Amino acid sequence: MPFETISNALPVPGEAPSSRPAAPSRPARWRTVAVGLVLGLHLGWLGTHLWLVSEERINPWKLGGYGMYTVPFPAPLTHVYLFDTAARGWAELERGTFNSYAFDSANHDFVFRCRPLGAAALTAFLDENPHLRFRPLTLVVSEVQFSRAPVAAERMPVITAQLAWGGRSKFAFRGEACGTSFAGESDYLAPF
Amino acid sequence: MSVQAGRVGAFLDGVAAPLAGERLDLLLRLAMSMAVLTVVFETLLDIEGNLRTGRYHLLAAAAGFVLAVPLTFLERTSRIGLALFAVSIAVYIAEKWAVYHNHGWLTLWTIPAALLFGARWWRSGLYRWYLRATLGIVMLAACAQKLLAGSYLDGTYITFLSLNGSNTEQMFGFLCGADQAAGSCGWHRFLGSFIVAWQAAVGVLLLAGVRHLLFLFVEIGFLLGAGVFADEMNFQVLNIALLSIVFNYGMRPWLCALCLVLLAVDAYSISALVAHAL
Repeated sequence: MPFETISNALPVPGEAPSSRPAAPSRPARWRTVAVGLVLGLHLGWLGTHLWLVSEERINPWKLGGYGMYTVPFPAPLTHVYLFDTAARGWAELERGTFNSYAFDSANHDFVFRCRPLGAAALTAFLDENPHLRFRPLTLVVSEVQFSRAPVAAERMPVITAQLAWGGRSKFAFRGEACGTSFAGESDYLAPF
Repeated sequence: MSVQAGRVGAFLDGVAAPLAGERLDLLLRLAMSMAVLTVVFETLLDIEGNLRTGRYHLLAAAAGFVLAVPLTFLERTSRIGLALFAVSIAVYIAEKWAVYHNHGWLTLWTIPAALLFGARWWRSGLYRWYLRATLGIVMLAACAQKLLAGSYLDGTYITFLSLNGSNTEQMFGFLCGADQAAGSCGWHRFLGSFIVAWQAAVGVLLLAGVRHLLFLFVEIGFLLGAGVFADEMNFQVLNIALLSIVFNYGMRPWLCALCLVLLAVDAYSISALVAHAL
């Protein structure tokens, strides 16, 4: 018997075959309501995700990833610049000479692309980099951005922040996230 | 020739034959176990990092995933397995919600919901309907994101991957000429448009309740193709396992063998295997 004929002759797979114990004719009402609620919640999140991606507020690959494979993975990366007094300019530190695990984690690995840096995240950065405390710093977060004409991807800065010290117990910062300015200050107590 | 044809026919008979009773129950539970197993494979990647950073609660959650695989499969403990899975994934999401992998998010929406349907969740038509609706709206959401990005209808994302992707992602590079960076060629535009149209069609057909096995098999074929292209088989196995529940087909032996091979391949990655072979 050809495969298609067999397939067409099958009972509807979604229904319980007659040899099985009869299922209740109707699911309990609370189950139907619960299923409706969960589906409604999911639909709400799908719409929200779509809106956040369209506004370029989140990484489309994350928080469910419904937008993955629409653009290259943004692969956010933290860069650190230190003011070189001899050269009177900012010099980027090589990777491996600083840590950014706690900083990246405090910023949810930059899944929220345009979220301004806060005092807590900067404090986390200073805590994990004792050798960079009490020095003027610039932090830059870059991500890979896709261009359709020409077809290419380039790493571009998304968030920048400059940090300055007022003595050894207070720092102030200002910067931009996706073109929006932010600023703040914080007391700092070095942990060790 | 006729002997060969007979063997093929017998195999297809076995593939498409309807099942009933306890055997189908068992294969539906096996499908759910396979879905949980894909999370185990995904979680294995985190173990070293969690050990290094002392996040023992995540290690305990990973152990919960492992234990949930056999528990979900066994009739008497299936609901306990689902509950253990739900607790374990809650621990993971509480810790890593912003960066949690998409694989885990899909299982969060699909697997713990089975707890709502009693000790014999696998016999619930409403659960199958819920899974069908969830997978359908996820397909439509993925399609909407591709339309929004605009990088599929004009073929630019396929072209980008052809130029810059991994070994497998470059598989369609040969379709266009050397000057791809200037713009996509017709084949890449066709391919991108086809992917969007296919996702939309699958989403609509799932929501419309189409239950023909041919639809299941074609979708499995498409998932495998997409898995090879993206070098990501684990997520495809999850989808296959969930679809086999949706279609009340179960994790038949041939499908189970295929999924296990795919999980093993995914553990190494197709790119690494190809590089090793070359």
